[in-house]
Order: sequence, then structure tokens, then C-alpha cells
Amino acid sequence: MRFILLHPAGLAVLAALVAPILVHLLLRRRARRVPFPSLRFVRPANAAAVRLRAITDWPLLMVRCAIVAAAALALARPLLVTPARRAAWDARTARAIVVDVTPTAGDPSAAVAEERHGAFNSTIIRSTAIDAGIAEAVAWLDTAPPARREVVVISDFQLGTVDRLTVDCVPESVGVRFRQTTPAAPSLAEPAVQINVHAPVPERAVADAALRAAGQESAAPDRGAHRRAVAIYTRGVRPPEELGRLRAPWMAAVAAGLPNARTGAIDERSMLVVLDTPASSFELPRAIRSIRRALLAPTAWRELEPERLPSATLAAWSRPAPPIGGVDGENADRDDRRWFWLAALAFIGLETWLRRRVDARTSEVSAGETVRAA
Amino acid sequence: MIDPSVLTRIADLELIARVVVEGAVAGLHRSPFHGYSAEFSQYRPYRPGDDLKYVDWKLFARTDRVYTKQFLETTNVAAHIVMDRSASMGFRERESGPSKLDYARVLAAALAYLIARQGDAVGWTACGDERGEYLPPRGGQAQLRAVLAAMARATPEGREPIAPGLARAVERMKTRGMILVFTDLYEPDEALAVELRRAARIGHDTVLFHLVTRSEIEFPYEGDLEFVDLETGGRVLAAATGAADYRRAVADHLERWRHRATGDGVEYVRVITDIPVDSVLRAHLLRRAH
Repeated sequence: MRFILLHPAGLAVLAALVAPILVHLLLRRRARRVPFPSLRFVRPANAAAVRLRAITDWPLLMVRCAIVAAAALALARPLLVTPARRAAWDARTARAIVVDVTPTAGDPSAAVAEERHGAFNSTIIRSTAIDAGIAEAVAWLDTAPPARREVVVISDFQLGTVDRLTVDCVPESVGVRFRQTTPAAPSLAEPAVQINVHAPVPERAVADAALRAAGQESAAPDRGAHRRAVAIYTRGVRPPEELGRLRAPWMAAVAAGLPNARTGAIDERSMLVVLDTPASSFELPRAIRSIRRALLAPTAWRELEPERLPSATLAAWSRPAPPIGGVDGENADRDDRRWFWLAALAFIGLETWLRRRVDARTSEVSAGETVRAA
Repeated sequence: MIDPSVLTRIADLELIARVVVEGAVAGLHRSPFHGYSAEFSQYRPYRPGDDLKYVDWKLFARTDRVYTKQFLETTNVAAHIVMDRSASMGFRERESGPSKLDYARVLAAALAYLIARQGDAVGWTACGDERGEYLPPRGGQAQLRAVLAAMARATPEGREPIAPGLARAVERMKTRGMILVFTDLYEPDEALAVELRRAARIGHDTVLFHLVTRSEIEFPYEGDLEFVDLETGGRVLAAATGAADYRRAVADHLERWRHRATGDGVEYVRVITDIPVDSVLRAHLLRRAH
């Protein structure tokens, strides 16, 4: 059994213990004034000695100090770590759930719900980098209330997402578990780009044919349906006087594939390509194909056949959440300060009773003098 | 028994004196002032208007003539009350209780009433401040009322010692009589002792009534107190721990005065103000009667 203070700085309030003593001494400075027939036989007392000797009611002073002490201890958030309390902590689990949010990781929602359900306290860390997510999870578990601690990683675990070193960096007191999800099917959809060709009227038919050949209808562009749009100006059509600078990485990718063209941007979704060749030349279909190819995500091609970590490896790296062992109760979600506040209240009651008793005694003395005189 | 605090609420000092005296004298077999009759001087023929109590009936039986006895003085004895009315006599233990002066006033009034009732003369001297008040001893009801009125007017103020006032009163006493001194003895001991001794040696029946309150003797205070001298206004910070020393010093003071007064032929009467006045008076009268 141990007694710890979760917020030891609260003990600074103990400095207030001098308050009741100071109040007592300061009150003593104002001695009661009594008219007396003669001071002939009254021996003067040293004023300083009177003040220092003035503690006449030790029980009352002790109780007042106890009020301050109990309040200070309550502010320091005391915690008595009993075996029963330690067993209760051992029976629960704080869980940090690291969710891989890369596009291929699949849908983790069911696994997340399941993991959260069994945890006393949990958090979800969504990250594209598993190792960073695990580090964040460990940091969160450090601040979690006393309980078994566990990091659960939910991912499709492609090669390279996590390795032995990452797992070894997790402290021994924290369990590690891996839940492998079914990877998402790779997207084979055409890049969402609307290509428009601005050509002289006689050459428009040729331009539309080039677009159709690339799988693009020549219908009017619908900006709402596409995230990106590219306008190609062929010779004979006057392009905008100023071509704005490129504003998005995809524009740079497109421009890289068109070394003979001038490129520019209207905004982050609209790009301009100016060709010095007529629409009837080979340059137009080649530019259209280059644009479409540039906008296909290169990773998508790699993700078609992802390589995943073997389940056996993940099982070998896993370890259950160990018992709390030497956890000393720091970050405890519930402490014993309420008992100290109750003690402070009890002391206040006791102080009131003592004070009233002293007052009553004083009154009795006065009444006694009256009766004696009568 | 009459509660001293009740006496202070009665304005009529003569009534108080009568009540106190009736209570104190009841049951006493003989007058405590019996020995103070004046000396016989001569006979003279009776004249209408003479008090019949002074007619010598035995002589009338022998000679068949009515003679009236004449005395050297018209009164038996002259009693003079010397009252200390310095500010210290204004001390009272409780807010509603009597001060030492109140108590002394009632006691003195009762004695004055008792003395006047016997046909003796009563005088009055108030000491304690610059305005000393003096009424020479005379007999009669009018003098008694004048003395009682002067007593009623007396207020505790000033810090003058009573020794000069006592000396003046003694000097003005033409014959031997009684000197009744009421004081709390908070003044230089020696001067007052000298005057008391002188009064006693001249032949006056000198009685010193020493008025003290219970608080002055027992010092029942707790904690730290700032005592304010009623006469000088001086202040002293004192602690309850000094109570033992105080009690010892006061006890020494009281005993010293008792010995000194007794040794000088002065009757010393310690009067504690929480004791009923009639009890004090009765005890005093009984002591004198024996």
C-alpha cells in the first residue's frame, strides 16, 4: 500500500499554515482594554513576550492548522494505492488505436468499433505513417489513467508500413497488437480531367476527333464534375495574353510532359496549354495523351499488386498488454481528495464547536462574577 | 441583605440610609455609640419649650421644682466623614454594578443617618480633586440632609490625595469626635498614614474604611490586557501570567495597611464591594459594641 500525491504542488498551500498563527498573534496585539483603579501593583509585561506567548488555546490553534493542512492535502490530490485499487486498475485496458488511413488500407471502421468497445479508455490515431502513429499512441498512453496499456494497429500492413524496430521502440509496459484489414481494391478509373481544345473553326472537327480518340467527349466542359480542366489552344486561336504561373503539382506533371508547349494556369483546377502547331498536326493527339498519362497516379499502378507483411510476422511482433506491475498511480482518474475535503469540513465544524465553547466559557465567567456579586 | 447594585438605583440617599440602618441595627441590644454622651454641665430652671427628656425628674421629686439638665455641648459627639472621591473610586466590576464611590456613599450615608438619629453632629469633607468640599459637623435633620445631598453630588474625578483634606478636617474639629475615612488607599501611603496617626493621637475615634472590589484582590482576568489607570490615564500592557505577582502585592498592601492602622490606633475596616452594605455595617457596629 502506498500513499502518493498526484499534484504535489498543492502542498504549497501548507504555507498558509502560518496564517492562523499570524492571525492569532496579530489579534494579540490588540489586547483588551480594561479600566483599572490603579496600576500600582500591575506589573507591565513585555509587549513582545505577550505576543509570542499568546497562544492560549492550543486545541483551537491545532484544529485551525488541521483545516489548512487537510485543504492543502486535498489540493495535492492524494491517492492511496491499495491492493483492491491496483486489482481494479489491472482489470481494465487503456487502448490507443492506430488506424492506417492510406487509400489502400481498406475500411477499418468495424475493427475500430470492436477495439473501442472493449477498452476502458481509448483513443483513435489516424495516420498514413504507422510508425509515427505508434509513437503518438505511446505518448497518449503515458498520460492515460492507470490500466493495462495497449497499442492496436489497424492496417493492411503493406511491406514497409511497419517493421521490427518500430515495435521495439514501444515500451515493455505497453502491449502491441496488429489487426490486418482487407486492402481496398485499386482504382482503375480514368483520371478525372476535362480537356478542351480551342482550334480555328475549320480545324475543329479534327480536334474533336483527336479528343474522341483519347476517350474524351468534346461536349462542353462541366467543371463541377471534374476536379481538373485543361484548355489546349492550337495555332490560329488567340490564347489569353497572360499565362498565369502553375498553381498545383499536377500542372507541373502535365507541363513536364509537354516540353514544346507553353503552359499556364487560371486557378488551381484550370490549366492552359498553348501549342504552336495546328490542330491537324500530330502534336495535338500527342499532347492529349501526355496530359492524360501525367494525371494517372503512378502509385496506382504499383498498388495494383501490393506486397503485404505475413500474418506470422505480425503475430511474432505482437505482445499482450502486461499487468500494470509497478504503476504507481500517476494520472489516476480518481483520487482520494474528497476524503480530505470531508476532513477539512469536519475540522471546520470542530473549530466552530471549540470556538463556541470558549465563548460560552467566557460568558460563564462573566455570569459567575455577576452571581457572586449578587 | 441588600444587593449593592440595587442601592445604586435608588436616588434617595436618606431612604437608602434608613433602610440600611434599620436592617443593620435590628437585633442589636445597645447602641454602638452609647459612650459618646457629652459631659453634664449644670441645671437651669425649666422654660417652656425645653425638651422634656432633659428634665431631671428625680430632682423634681425631691425638690418639687422642675430643672433642665444642661450639657457642655448641644450634641453628644461630632462625627466627620472624609470621602475619597478620586477617579479610582469610580471603578466598578460590572457595567451595571456600583462603583466603589457608590458603595462608600451608601455606607457613609447609613452611618451619618445612624449618628444623626442619636442627636450627634455630622460633618462632610470630600477629597480627591481641587474642589474640596467641606461641611462642618452639626446636628439636626437639616445638617443630615445637607451632608446626604453633598454625598449624592460627589462624583469620582481627580487624582488628588486625601491626606491634605483629612488634615484640614482634623484641624477644624474643635472637640474630640469621630473621623470616618472612606478611601481605596491608592495614594502615597506615608502622608495618609501620618494624618491618620495624628487624628488618632489627638483623640479622635478614627475609622479607616478601605474600599476594594473583588477584582482588585483576585485579579480574575485572562489573556493579555491593557490596563488603563482611571486616575492618571496611564496604560500598561499586562498578561494573565502576572496575576500571581499582582495578588501577592495587593495582599501585602492590604495587610500592611491593617497593621499600620491598627498600630496607630486607627480602626481598619476592609470593605469589599460585593458584600451587602447592611452586612458590613452590622459587622462594624457589632465590633464596636463589644
